[in-house]
Amino acid sequence: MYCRVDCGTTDGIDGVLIGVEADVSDGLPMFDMVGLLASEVREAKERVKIAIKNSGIMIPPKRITINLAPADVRKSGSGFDLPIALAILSSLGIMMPGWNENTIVIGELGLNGSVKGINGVLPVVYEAAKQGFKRAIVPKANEIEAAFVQGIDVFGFERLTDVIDFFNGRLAKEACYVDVEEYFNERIAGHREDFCDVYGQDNVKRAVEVAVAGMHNILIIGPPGTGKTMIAKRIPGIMPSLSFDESMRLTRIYSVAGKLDENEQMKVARPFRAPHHTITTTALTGGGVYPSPGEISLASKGVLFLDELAEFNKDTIEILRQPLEDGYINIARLNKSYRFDADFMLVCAMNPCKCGYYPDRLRCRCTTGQINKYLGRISRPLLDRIDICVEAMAMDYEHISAKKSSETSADIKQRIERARAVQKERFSKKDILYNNDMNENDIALYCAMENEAKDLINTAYEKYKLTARSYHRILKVARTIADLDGKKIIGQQHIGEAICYRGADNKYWGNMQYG
Amino acid sequence: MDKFWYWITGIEGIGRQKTKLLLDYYVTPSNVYQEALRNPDRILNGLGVKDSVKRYFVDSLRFIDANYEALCEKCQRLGIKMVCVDDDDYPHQLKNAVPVPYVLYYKGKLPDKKRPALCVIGSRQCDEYGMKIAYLVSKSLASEGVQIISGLAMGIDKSAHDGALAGGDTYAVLGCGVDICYPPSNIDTYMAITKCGGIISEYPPSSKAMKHHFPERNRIISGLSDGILVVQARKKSGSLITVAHALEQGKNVYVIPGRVTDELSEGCLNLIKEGAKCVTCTKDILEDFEQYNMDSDNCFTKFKDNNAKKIIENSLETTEKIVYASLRLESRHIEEIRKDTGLKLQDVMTALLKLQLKGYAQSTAVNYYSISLTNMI
Repeated sequence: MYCRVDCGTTDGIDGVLIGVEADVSDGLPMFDMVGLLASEVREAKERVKIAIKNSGIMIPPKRITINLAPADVRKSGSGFDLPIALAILSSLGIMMPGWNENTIVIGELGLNGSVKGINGVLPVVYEAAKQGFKRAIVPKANEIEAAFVQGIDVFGFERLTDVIDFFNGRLAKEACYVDVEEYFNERIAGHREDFCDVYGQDNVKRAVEVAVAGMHNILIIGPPGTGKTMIAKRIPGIMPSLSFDESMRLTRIYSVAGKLDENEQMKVARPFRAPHHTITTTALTGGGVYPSPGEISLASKGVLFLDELAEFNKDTIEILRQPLEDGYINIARLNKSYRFDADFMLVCAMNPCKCGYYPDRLRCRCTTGQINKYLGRISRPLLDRIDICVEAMAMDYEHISAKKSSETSADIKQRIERARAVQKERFSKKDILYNNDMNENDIALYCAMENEAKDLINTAYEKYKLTARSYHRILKVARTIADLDGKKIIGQQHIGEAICYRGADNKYWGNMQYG
Repeated sequence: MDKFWYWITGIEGIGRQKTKLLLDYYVTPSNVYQEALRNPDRILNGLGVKDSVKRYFVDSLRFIDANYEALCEKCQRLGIKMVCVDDDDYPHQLKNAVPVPYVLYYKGKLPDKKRPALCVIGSRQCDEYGMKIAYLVSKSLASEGVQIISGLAMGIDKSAHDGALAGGDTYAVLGCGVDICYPPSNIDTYMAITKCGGIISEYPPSSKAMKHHFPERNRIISGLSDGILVVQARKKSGSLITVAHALEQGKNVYVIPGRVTDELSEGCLNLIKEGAKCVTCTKDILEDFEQYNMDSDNCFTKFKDNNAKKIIENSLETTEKIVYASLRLESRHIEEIRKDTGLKLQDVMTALLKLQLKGYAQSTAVNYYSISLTNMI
């Protein structure tokens, strides 16, 4: 007898639906699986056979053939165990006919007949809902994650026997339901790290605020122990909350990468990824024979924090250039090119020199050459993509002990949301979201300046011999500062502040000059 | 006669001390040469050198003329001039140096014997205070006609040269061939000195900078000058070696004081304790050089013209004035300036930018600012 069960796997971060066909007929007893299978899928054979046996069902000695269709898509992942088992049982007549209508099944089996959680459930269920499926059978561990998809009933199971009983009417079960709003509110309230814990460093905080408001990339320079990492960690907390769609997209990435945990089945908070500087290129971009998302994709909609920027491998850092421009990364393989989201905000931190204390010459004994060499490790093209550069000051005891109450993240977030709203309105007819995405034409269109401001930037342009590129960057940042100020026209104080944040293209970049 | 000097200083493996021994005994290099031709073993065994050096020595005797011609041709090609201790234009002050640099190679010119020369030295790892003072004092002295001599190293040396170039002429003594700029990052200063002053070395052209060359060239730096000014030196700074040379040669030692708590100036303060002259204005140095009139009150740490300060302040807006008042010679972080002035961060940034554009302030590192020097003196 023949039976077909729908199932799915992931391809990149997209779900792909796969049909599992089983046929049980007379002949020499054997178990055959075809359909371009990866080794973990081929191994499903043993798992399925034993899981069925240990669930108390005898498989009669018959010729069993399993086909995974379409035959030209390579199947990988362990989510095929459960559909294969159900297809066999259905072919054997153990399942009630018609159970599999509009139903998608995914899950891995243990030898004892348990259903185990897998990676990449969300993209598959999402795809299935899009194609009109009404029911999804998933492992209990992935139940909540899948339940976020609207328009499909999700049932989570822990044992193979429960699944059989459910379809045969011996087990009543309600579809899993998650109150999305409540789930979001609960999780957001739990965000602990707040900007009010950071004493002093007002100029860095301000720079961060500007950076977040316009989604500009930022570089924080400073001696060790001045709170660079502390500040960076708090950046996701002042970013506007994720919308449901954004959250969905992000969760799909995390689902494929297997980074969802029990407490966070849905990504509610903006991600903060801080890879160590020994990270390889592939780990950063994503990759592998069947590409999985890397750190830059996991940081999507959030913050990619590169601490000790100068210590990173130069080639590893170089590959950030294209994603920073485009907001996604393409990973090309022989038969297909995969596109992963990579629209993160880049936050970098580094010491001003090898020992970290420059320009405090009492402590720093690096020579000018060493300092230049240290800073020179960061490539100019990457620096060109960092709009804001700020230096944290070494704190003395007075600052730390003063404990002047500083602003909370909520206050800052409010201002940022206001600035974002201005940008949203401004770019409503464009396909860009933030000031940072503006190109030259947009800048000419949206960055109107007061006469004083024009004079100021023109003088600066002459005096500092700015390039056209850095001129545009200054204007983009000035636009954001004016948005934060609630001004339509850019004033000279906005230009003044924006020029102060330049620095990566500053001629003093590690090069002291006198006279 | 010349060729014997270049011969005796150009033998690999026979260094300064051995050459001095030979000359002490035979008085002139030509005598050494004659003796060497007659009985090379007597000389070589007396010096106790290795076999390879012996072979090289015997070869050099044979090729003395060819080698000398090749050297002359090379120097001419590279625009390098040579002078040996017997020449008239050899700087006579150097004869006090121990051991005497028998030959000198130079680009540009040698210091003028009629005008006083001062060497300005200090640490390579210095802070802005040191660099700025070195710049200012050199500029001020150079504009009074004093020749500034230093070593073209990073830090104080470079600033001293740069300052002197802004006011007059300056001379750099290198630890490598004069056709090599070491450290390469100082190429701008190097080029400027060849046009306005001179690059001097006792090492033949194309000699690489070796570690042991630098203490050796220090004796030339101090030898060429009438006094020595130490700007910033740690407790165990290399500059103190130069001071020791200068004291042996009977030169005046001047010191720019630093703060008591400042490690970078610890060596300087110790020198003051030991009796060096503490310098707070250009006059302190000039008064020791007889030909200078003491009417000009040239004080490098202040504006030359009292009006200048007023003119600057009048040209500034209110916020700029407030910010300018909180700027120092040492660089300060923008947060410190903001705390001092009590202004909003944005206003401080704008004021600093305007001050920079007007040339009254400068950014020394990201978010660090100090007073600019162009409007002083």
